[in-house]
Amino acid sequence: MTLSGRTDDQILAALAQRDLSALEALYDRYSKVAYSLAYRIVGDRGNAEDVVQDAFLSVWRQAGTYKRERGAARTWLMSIVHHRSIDRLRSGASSSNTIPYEELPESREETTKPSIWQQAWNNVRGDMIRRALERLPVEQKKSIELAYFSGYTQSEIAELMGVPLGTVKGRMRIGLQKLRTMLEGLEIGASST
Amino acid sequence: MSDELHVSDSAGAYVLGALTPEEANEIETHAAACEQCREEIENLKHVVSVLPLACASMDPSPDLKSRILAAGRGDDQADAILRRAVTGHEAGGQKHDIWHRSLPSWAGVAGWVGLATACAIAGIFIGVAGERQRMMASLQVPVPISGTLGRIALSAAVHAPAEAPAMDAYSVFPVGAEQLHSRVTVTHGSKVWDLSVNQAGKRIPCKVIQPNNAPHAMILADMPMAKQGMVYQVWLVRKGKMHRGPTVMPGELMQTTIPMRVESGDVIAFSMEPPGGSTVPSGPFVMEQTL
Repeated sequence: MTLSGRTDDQILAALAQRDLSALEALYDRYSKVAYSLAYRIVGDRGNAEDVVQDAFLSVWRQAGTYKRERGAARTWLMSIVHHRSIDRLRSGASSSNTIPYEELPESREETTKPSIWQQAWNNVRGDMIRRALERLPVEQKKSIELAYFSGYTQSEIAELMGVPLGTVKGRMRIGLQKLRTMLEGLEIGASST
Repeated sequence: MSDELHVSDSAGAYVLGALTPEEANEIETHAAACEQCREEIENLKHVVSVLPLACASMDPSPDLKSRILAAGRGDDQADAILRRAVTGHEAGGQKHDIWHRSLPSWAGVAGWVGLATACAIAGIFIGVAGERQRMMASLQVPVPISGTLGRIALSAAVHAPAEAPAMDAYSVFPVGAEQLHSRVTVTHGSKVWDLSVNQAGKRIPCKVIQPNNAPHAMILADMPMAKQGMVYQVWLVRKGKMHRGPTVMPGELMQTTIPMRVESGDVIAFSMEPPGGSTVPSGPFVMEQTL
């Protein structure tokens, strides 16, 4: 079986054995969503690619010591991408922190054959998640987006939105709980790949 | 634990990364001892883990994959170097100041890194001489830092024999904005590692010099041509950690400094990188040597 057909855990195990083809398989599987997230946060291609490269190499270097209980490979990788992107955003190295989805460039045609199915499934899930976000009350959706995609702290969001801190906390928590319920209804397992 | 003490109202902000480090620490400390909050956080983390999929789908540039894979290969090479360095020390067989070793990876190198440009960038000229009196004499007068003098001094230095474990070294620092004159610093008791090799009948001289009173080390080499548009970058590997060194422009001779002292057991490696250098080696090392 080729690595592209294996589970994330199998790829992680191969990474821990310093199998470079596993790094390639992981890249084929998740580079697109990793880059999309990084670009969404940092707002330019150069910084987004730096973040993605840094994240994949972090996984490559730390796979041998990674504990599965900390989460799936995708969750781990995306967590690194997210943190590095926010760090870069807060350090001022990026050009923008307010790119709405609508203004993002259209995706080019997928060219990596082994990941076509994965990308198609990611696209389907992406549509479902976007629709679920749209169904949230505007204040909850905005609070979540400002925190996760724009890197604002809860205090900054409270100031930006002109509401008490407790209100922001509640909007984030309740919004995420609603999303969880909606995504479970759509059978999108958050821990699946 | 009472409800009043639960932190679940901040759980959403925590999993979204919207807390300060201090606030996040408080949450983590509490959750470590509170199953209820821990469970809530885990549930919300799962939701956050799918948020990346909500981003508009984009492709990175086609060469990003090759860059990442090349860096991964570079890591493996560094690991191999480290293993060899550690093994060598544990075996206790290589404790000399000068360690000659064959360098098969020189074969693919194609260029020489230059003196004049590199010196102008580094701001330092180096020479090595066996005659202490002559060096001491040169201390007495300002020395023009012309390219000719620098090239001669460096050429003499890099081609000088180095049978002794330590030999004198001197550095020529440009003085003043116009860099027309130089101050000569003489150091005695410097360590010199001769890493020269014979490759296809041609001697490739390479020396690493650690002046006894300088915070940096110096490398002199007469290296093959680099690929067009590429520069050499120096890496130092010590105790499992890779230190990024300076880049040097291609040319006939190479001189550069490592901004830290070196010692026996350190590994000096060169890679070819795009102009400006890289944060990690982007390709195979063209040369690597253990001091």
